[in-house]
Amino acid sequence: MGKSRFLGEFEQFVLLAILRLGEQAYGTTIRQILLDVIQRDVSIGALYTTLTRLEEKGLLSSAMGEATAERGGRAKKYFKITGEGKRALAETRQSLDAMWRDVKLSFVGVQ
Amino acid sequence: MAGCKTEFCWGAVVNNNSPPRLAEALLAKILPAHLKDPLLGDLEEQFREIQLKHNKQSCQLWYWRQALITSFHFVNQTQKALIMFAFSIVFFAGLTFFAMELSGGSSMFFDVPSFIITLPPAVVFTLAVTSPAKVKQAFSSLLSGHVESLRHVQSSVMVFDVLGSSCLWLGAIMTLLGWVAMGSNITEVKVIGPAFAVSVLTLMYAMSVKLVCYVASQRITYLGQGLTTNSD
Repeated sequence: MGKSRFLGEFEQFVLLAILRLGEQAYGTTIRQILLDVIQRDVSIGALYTTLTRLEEKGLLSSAMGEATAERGGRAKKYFKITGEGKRALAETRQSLDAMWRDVKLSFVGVQ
Repeated sequence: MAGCKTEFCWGAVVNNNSPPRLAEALLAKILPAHLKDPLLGDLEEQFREIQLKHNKQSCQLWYWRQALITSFHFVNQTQKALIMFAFSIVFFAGLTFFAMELSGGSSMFFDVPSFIITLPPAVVFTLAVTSPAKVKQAFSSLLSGHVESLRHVQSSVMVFDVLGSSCLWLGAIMTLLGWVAMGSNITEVKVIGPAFAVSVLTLMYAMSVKLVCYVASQRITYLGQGLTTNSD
């Protein structure tokens, strides 16, 4: 097995949002799904910083899309999760599951 | 709905304004080139959606908030040169002010006429020797940290050299002029001190401008390292 690459919490949320959105994953929709599903209102700057970092790590790939009038004639940037991204997501989940195993919620103060 | 400022659409009052242009310009300046289109487009798309539910002020406020937070995220990546140059100038100004305070108070070091007779004429000389376009280009390179060619570097260095040297010479001449005026008009020895101090201020301002121009010129030279004549 290669070197494990654990993802940060927000990185996981972003990758999962992209997986949920499929072909329609770009800045606005990713931001919207994060707000709808986990009620996290992230700034567009914070989102793009994370997207750029994930792309540099090879966990995401991107492609420029169409320009539309409601965007002031500017193109969308669509994101897609790579094989390495899926692997990193799975490894992080396995690690978290392993750590959670046999942990009772009462240990962390939840009744 | 297009083309209207505020109108009744789909049963709701919808304002149809553009995003704040100044905030857009700020982002366009700070964002990396590859993110300008997608990020500004996303912001505009969401701005249009928010307009369906909120009033104009809330929308503008939302856009400004996004623009400022986003600028904060990217400014260190794209404007490092500007930040470092600004920091060095602020550091120099701070140290100078500290030294002034230690010397018995900063108020005696401020004299607007002494400044006016050095910097504005030096700027005019620089414009005359080079050109307004070259001066603009030199300051733009300094602030953006980007030079395009060796010729660009040479012309920008020349701008700062002419500005700094003109200012220094003007300061020296104006100081001498002050001394001549003092020698011709002052008969009482006790007023020589204050008059001398004011005359020397001109030279001090000129030397400060020369120092900043020297740093600017060295910065441009550094940015141009690695460029060859082929890049012209």
